Amino acid sequence: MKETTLPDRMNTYFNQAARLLQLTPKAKNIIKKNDNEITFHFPAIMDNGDLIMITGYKIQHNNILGPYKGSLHYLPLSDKRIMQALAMLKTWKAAVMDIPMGGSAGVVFIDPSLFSFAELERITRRYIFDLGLNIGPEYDIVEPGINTNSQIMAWVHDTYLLSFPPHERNLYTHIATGKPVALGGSLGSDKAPGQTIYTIIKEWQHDRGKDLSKLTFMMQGFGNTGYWVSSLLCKNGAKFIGLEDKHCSIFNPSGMDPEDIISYIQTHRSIKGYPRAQKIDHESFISKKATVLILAAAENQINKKTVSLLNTDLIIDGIDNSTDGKCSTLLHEKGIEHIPDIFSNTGLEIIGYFEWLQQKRSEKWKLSQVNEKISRRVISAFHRVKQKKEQFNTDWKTAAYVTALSRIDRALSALPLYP
Amino acid sequence: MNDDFINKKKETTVYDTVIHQFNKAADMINLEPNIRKILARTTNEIVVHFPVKMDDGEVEMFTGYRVQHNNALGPYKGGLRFHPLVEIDEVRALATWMTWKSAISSIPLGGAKGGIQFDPHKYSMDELERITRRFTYALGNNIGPEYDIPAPDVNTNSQIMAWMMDTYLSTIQPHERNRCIHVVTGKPIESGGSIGRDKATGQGIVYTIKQWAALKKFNLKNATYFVQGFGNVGSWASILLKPSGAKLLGVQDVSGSIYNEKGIDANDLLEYVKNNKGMIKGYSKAAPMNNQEFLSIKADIFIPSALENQITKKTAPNLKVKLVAEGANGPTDIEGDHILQEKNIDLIPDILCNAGGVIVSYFEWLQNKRSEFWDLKEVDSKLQHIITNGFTRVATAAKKHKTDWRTAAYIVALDHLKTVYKERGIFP
Repeated sequence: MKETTLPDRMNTYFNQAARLLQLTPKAKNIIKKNDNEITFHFPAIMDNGDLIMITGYKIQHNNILGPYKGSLHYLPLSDKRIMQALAMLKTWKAAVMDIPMGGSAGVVFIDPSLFSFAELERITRRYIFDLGLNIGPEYDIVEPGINTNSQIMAWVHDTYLLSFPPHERNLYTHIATGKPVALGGSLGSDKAPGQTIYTIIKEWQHDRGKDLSKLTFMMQGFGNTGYWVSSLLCKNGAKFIGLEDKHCSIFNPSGMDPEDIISYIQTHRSIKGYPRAQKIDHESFISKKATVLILAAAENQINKKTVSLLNTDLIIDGIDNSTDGKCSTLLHEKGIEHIPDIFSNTGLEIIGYFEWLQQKRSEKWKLSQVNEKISRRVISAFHRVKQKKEQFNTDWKTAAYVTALSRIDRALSALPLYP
Repeated sequence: MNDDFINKKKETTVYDTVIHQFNKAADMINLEPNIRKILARTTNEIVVHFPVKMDDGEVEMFTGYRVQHNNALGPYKGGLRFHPLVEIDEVRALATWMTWKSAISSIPLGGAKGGIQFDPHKYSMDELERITRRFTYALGNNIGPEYDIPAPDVNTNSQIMAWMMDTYLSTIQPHERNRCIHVVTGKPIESGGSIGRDKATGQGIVYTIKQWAALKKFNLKNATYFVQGFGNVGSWASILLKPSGAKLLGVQDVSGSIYNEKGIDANDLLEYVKNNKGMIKGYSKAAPMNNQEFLSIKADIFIPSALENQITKKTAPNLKVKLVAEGANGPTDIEGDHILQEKNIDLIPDILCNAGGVIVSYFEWLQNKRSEFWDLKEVDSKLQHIITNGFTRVATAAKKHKTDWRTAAYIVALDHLKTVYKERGIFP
C-alpha cells in the first residue's frame, strides 16, 4: 500500500483533534483554509547575460497568534497541496510551543544546483524585492528551508532592508532568522533542534520516575540534530547503543561515544567501518531493544513494514514526517509511545523565535541564556501536551494537535470576526 | 442572450486570445526577447481566502483574486468583478488588457484585475458589505493609491467602491487617511468620485466612432447601429450616439433581442429597463427578435458591449456591418478576428475603444490626489483629447505596418512599454 502524503496525513490528524475538541464549524473552516497565496513571475539575469523568467510563490496559512513565519524552499517542482501543508505545519508547531507566530511557506521554483552562486544571489534578491510588503519583520518572517541556508538569509535580510530609508533600516533586522551569527543570528542555533529533542526525552524519562542513567537509545541519522541529541544524552548519563546512517547500521550494547564517532566520520565520511561497534543490518537495527529510538534521518522510516519490528518504549521524530500516520494504531497496540514532529522537531522554530526577539530588542543573548530559555519552553510544552493527552485519554500525536488547535481556537473565539 | 451566445465551454480561453494577439504584434515589431518574456507573464497573482459572517450567524469562506500584470508605466489599475465564474485565467487576460489600454492611451498606469468568485445576487446588502470589506482587508498592502487601484467591473458599483475605500482608509493612520482616498476609483460623486465616470466608457466609444467616421469620411447622420448588452456601457453608447443623427436598430441582452427598423429611442428604452429589473424583454416600441438572427442585422455599426467571445467562427460570417466597435473586453475570438478581416469589416479594438472607463478613472485618481473637482466639460474635453490621440496612434501604426487595427493597437502598446523598459533597465 502507498504511503500517505504529508497533506493527507495532516488532514487526518487535524480532523481527529477537531473532533475531540468539538471545534465549531466556524473555527474549523477558518483554520483549515490558508489565508493568502501569492504567485509571481520575475526576471533574473544569468551570468551569460540571458534573461529568464522565474516563478515565486508564497503561502500564508494563519496569523491569529502572531506574524506569519515560514521557510523559504528552492524546489524545481511543487505540489501546491504540499506547500499548504508545510505552511500549516508551521502554524501547529508555533501553537504547540506557545510561540506567538503563525505559519507560512515560500518557494522559488528552481533547481538551485543549476545556478551559479552569483545567479542564486540575484534570484534571491529579486524574489524578496517582488514580495515587497507581503513579507515583513512583524508580518511574515523568512527562515531557511529546503536547499536554502544562512547565506541566502543574509541576502534576504540585505535586500529587504534596502527597500527602506537608511535611518529606518535597523528597525527591520528581524525580517529573516537563521542568519549568520555575525549578521544577527542567535548563538546556539546549530544545537537547538537536538537540544529540544534531548529535553523532551529527559522530561519524559523523569516523568516516569527514572533518570537518564537508566536510558538506552538508538539514533537514526547523524547529522546536526542526531549528533547533538546523542552528545547531550551521553553527557547526562544515557547509553548510546545503536546508530544508523545512509550507508550502514552499527550496534554496541556497552555504549558508544558520539564525539569519537563524529571524528571518525570527519575522516571517513560515514560510520562505515567504525571499529568500536559491530555492524548489523537495517532490520536488526530497527528490532534492537532500547528505551528510545530517535528518527533524525528521512521521511517515512516507521511504516507498516517496520513498525512490527520495533522494540523500544518510545520513538521520537527528529525530522518532519518520519513516521507514517497509518502506524498510529499499531504503535498504540504495541504500547510504544510516539512523540510527533509538530512537538519534537521544533528546535528551529524556537531558536528562530529567539533570534527574532533578540533582533527586535537589539539584544545579544549568551549561550547559557539561550540554553536555559529553550529548556524552560520545551519543558512547559511537554506538560501542556501531556495534560491534553491525559484529559482526552489519547496518544502524544493527537494530544499535540489538540494542544495546537485549542490554542488557536481560544484566540479565534476571543476575537469577533472583522468587520 | 441564450446559452449559445454565452458560450460557457470556450474552445480557447480568453488568455489564449491575449497571448495570440500579443505574439502577433511582438513578431511584427521584433520585440526584444527579454522584454517579451517579461510582458508575456503576469507579475503577481494573489489568491486570498477569507471568512465572512452571514446574516444567520454562520461563517462562509470566500476566495478572492487580484492579478497584477505590469506596473512599468505606473501603479497597477483595474476592475474588480463579483461573479461565480471568476477564475484565474480570465482575470489574467483582463489584467493584461488593462496594461495595453493604459499604454495605448498613454496614461501613467499599469494593468491589474481581480474579483471574488461568488454570485452577489444571492446575498443581502449587509452581507455584500461585509464580503467587500473583508476582501479589502485581506488584500492589505497589495492595493494602495500609489500601488494598485481597483475600480468597479461586472456586478460591482460605486457603493462597493465606497466600502472598499472606507475599509482601506481605516488601516491607515488617521492623519494620513485623506491623502489616500484615491485607493479606488468609480466612487460615488459625494465620496470623491468624478463627474462623467458613469458614462465614461460609452462616451469613449462614441468619440472613437466619430474619429473613425471622420477618417473614413463616413456620415454618421442617418447611419444605423445595433448594440449587444444594455448595461452601463451599451446604454450610454446608444444614448450618446443619438445626437449624431444615427439610428439604433436593435438591442440584445440576457433576456432576449429586440428590433425596430424605424429606430429605437435609447433614452426611452433605458427608462423602461430601469423599471423592468434591468431587462429589455417586453419593450413595446420594438419587435422581439430571434437571438440567432441578431448578429445578422444589416446596419453600419455593431457595438458589442456585453460578454467575451461573441464574434466567433460561428457568428462572424453573418455580420453585415461596416464597423465593429468593441465596447466589451474581448468580444471577438481569434477566428472571429480573421473572418472580420476577410470580410473587410473595420474594427475599433477593445483596448482602444473602451478605454474611456480607465481614462476617467485616471481623472478621478488625479482629482483625489490633487484635491480638485473638475466639471463635466473639463472631464469630457480631456477624455476626448486622450482617446483621440490614442486613436490617431493606432491608425498611424496600422498604416505604417500595413496591418489590422487590433494588431496595430498592440504595436502601439508594446512600443510604449518597450521604450520604458529600455530607459529604465531591468533590476537588479
